[in-house]
Amino acid sequence: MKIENISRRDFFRKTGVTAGAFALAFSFPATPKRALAAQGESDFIATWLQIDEEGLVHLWIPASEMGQGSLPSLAQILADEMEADYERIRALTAPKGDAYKNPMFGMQATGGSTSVRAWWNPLREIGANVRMMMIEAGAQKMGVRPSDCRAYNHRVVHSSGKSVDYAEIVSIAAGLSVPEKVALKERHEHRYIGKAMPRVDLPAKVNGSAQFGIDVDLPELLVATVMTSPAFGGELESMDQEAAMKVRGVKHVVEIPNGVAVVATGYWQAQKGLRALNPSFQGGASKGMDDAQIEAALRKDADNGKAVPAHVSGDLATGRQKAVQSLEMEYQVPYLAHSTMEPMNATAWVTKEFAKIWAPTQAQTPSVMIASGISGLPPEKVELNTTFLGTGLGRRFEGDFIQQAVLISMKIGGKPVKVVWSREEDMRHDFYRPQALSRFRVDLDQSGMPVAWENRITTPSIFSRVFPGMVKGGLDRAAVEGAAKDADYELPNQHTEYVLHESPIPVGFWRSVGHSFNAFFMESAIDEAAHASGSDPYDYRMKVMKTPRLRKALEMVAEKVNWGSAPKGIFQGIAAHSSFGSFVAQVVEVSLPGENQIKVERVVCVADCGTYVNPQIIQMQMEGGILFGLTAAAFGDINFEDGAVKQGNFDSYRMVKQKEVPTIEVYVMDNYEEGPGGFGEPGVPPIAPALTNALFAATGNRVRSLPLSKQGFELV
Amino acid sequence: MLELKINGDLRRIDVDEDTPLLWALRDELKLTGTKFGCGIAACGACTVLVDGEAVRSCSYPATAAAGKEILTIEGLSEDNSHPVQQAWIAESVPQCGYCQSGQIMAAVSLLKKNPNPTDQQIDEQMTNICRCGTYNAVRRAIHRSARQLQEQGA
Repeated sequence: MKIENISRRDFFRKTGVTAGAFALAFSFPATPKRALAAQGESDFIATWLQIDEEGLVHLWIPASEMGQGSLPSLAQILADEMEADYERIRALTAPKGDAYKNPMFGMQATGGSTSVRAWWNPLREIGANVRMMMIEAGAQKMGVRPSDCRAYNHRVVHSSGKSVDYAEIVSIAAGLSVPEKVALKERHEHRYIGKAMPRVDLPAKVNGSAQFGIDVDLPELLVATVMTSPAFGGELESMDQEAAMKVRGVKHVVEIPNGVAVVATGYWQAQKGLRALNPSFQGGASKGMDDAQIEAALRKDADNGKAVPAHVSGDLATGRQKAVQSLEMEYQVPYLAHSTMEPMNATAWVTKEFAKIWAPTQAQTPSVMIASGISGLPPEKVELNTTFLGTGLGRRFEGDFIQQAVLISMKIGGKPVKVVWSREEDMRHDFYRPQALSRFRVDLDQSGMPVAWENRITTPSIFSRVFPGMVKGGLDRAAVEGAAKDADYELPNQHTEYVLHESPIPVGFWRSVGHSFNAFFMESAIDEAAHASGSDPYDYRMKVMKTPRLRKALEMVAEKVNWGSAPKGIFQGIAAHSSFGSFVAQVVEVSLPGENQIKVERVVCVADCGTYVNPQIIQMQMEGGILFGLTAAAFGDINFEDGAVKQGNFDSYRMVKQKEVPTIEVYVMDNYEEGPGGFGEPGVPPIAPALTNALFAATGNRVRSLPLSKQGFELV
Repeated sequence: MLELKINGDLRRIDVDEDTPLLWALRDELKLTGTKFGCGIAACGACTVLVDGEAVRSCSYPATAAAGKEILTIEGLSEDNSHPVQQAWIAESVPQCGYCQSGQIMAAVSLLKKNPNPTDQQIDEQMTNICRCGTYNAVRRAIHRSARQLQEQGA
């Protein structure tokens, strides 16, 4: 990492640095690991932070903010190390820039619960540099030795007690060189890190001023809405262009890949134009397929497809010699939509000289490559501004909506256009959480311990489309994550294998990815093993668990929920799973108010996310992850008819609402020694199995296929 | 021309008769705090108040609001000082924030009719969707607003 004081350099215009301000930039040595990042993108020197002459600190945060709290968490880290007054910091999502490449990805993108993990050290170092430079500048101003000074809350304080505000010394700091080495704060010196500081994005999110992609406005901006083939990959067959053009406000009808866009003066006019256009479609890879055929194809691969080992230890046959019982189980989950609260959208203005994009995106580097590829402009001519994201959930890692915006802007003569999808288009043209099937044979010995563990996971591969280079020998690691070598249990003679199922249904990253189904499979199988061996599900897990930090979380959740002593009529289910560098255990308590009705009364969650920046954000992310997973487990099911998604809106694709929400207690473990773990996703995986395990405890009915609604259970 | 009274100001716009209030607000008047989520009155992201009643503006014709008082999130206060906004900040409700304009407006309407709602009444009245799962925080913030409003009233 190279840090530069750019206050005095000739980048003012380019970086937006105001003359007279203090500004730091930093860049990583060019170490592109992947093809996407290999292109020399830009000579843009990304500014990291500026302190203006009023002493206001402007931070550029290198992660998209979609609710997960990256923006406030990263701002909190910087503010803490630089000893800023929390009231005097302002944080914005950074524009496109090489310096903002996520060190864990090698590209500018947000996902995989990496933001705090990836930026923890670099940001602390940046903040510490600022602190040291301010101390140096403050000492100069006061005519004292820097070693007799310290920084505290936006001031440099001399041992005599006299002090200066950062605002008074920015011009001195602007002339200083960046220290070679800095000391990071000790834990006891943190003033914001580790505390429930109010999120910096709160004020804008209670008065409507937070700018999401859908809110972008420019002079002469037109609005487009699109319809693409309901069957995936189909083509436009016919349309009534004349009728569409007659609709007041409609300006253009533009063909796009697999469909058509209507461009108008506003969204409503564009929608009316689209209705008048009445496009029809033909063909498509999924054309003619319904649920039964899609499931049959999956089962065919599970039966006869090419299985590749995901993790093999010991020998199944040897293990089975010690077995006294053998459990054969099949588990299944359906395709799921993301349904981000803000429908897909992007704004592009593409001329022969430049491309400017404003978008709620998780994937800046890939988006720039897409825009460059379509427009023929070199990447350095592509500007990308990331707005707030009305949730991302992995859906906004995709570039399809960016592609459309760029293309439409070019086709209407280089004018700016905002593409806004209807909810129906959003639900029917997702990159779905893949359907998955898991077949277990688990052998237990006399004491109930697993002696052989066979698991075949059949599911489409996300990586073979998104980053094909990462699929080696037919193995997509994301498809088996949480069930292979990284399984949380001691499983002697483990044979976990993967069958890559080719499907015409597009699949993508959905909050917690493979963990979203493998935790359900594994934690259900373990629960079945516990019951088969006559053990308490908690005691059994404690015996078989191999991940030490997850064991502690499990222990704590049992204590917090008073495991095994639920009141009459309340039934408990437990699950634990590690993912994205964190360790989460959950207990669900259910009651059965009526026939086939299930009420989730309480969820207790313990999360070990290692070092935490903001425990309240983690709490909220665990709670949100629980409700996201509960929605999926209770209702989530994307169905197909003639190759198209049947569901179109929230009336047919239900979300958990206020009345179904249980009491949720989240305990964030204190584990500063371990470094930060992820927190956007790890709350999701345990909830589905904890819920179905509770349902088993209540009814003796083992739900092996989700959602519950398909099994006749109603969440109330 | 359609004349609408929004946040106390008279505004004139030229829209088709069938234009929903949502798109009149967002595209014509650039009041983008009110959000589009579903278009079928199922999610509540577009909730505004018309004569004090919460309506889902994606399915409410702009013409039907003529002659009535429309209140959007932008009109609640100049400085986030409305008790419901204050409670939302104090309980740190917003995550992504996209649905929160609608949640806040629904809560304002609920508290107008029922200054001290029970949990069950909140369950019944607050039917907005939040994909981040802020529901429990929304509930706490409504109770906090109710206490605040009562203290102010006392």
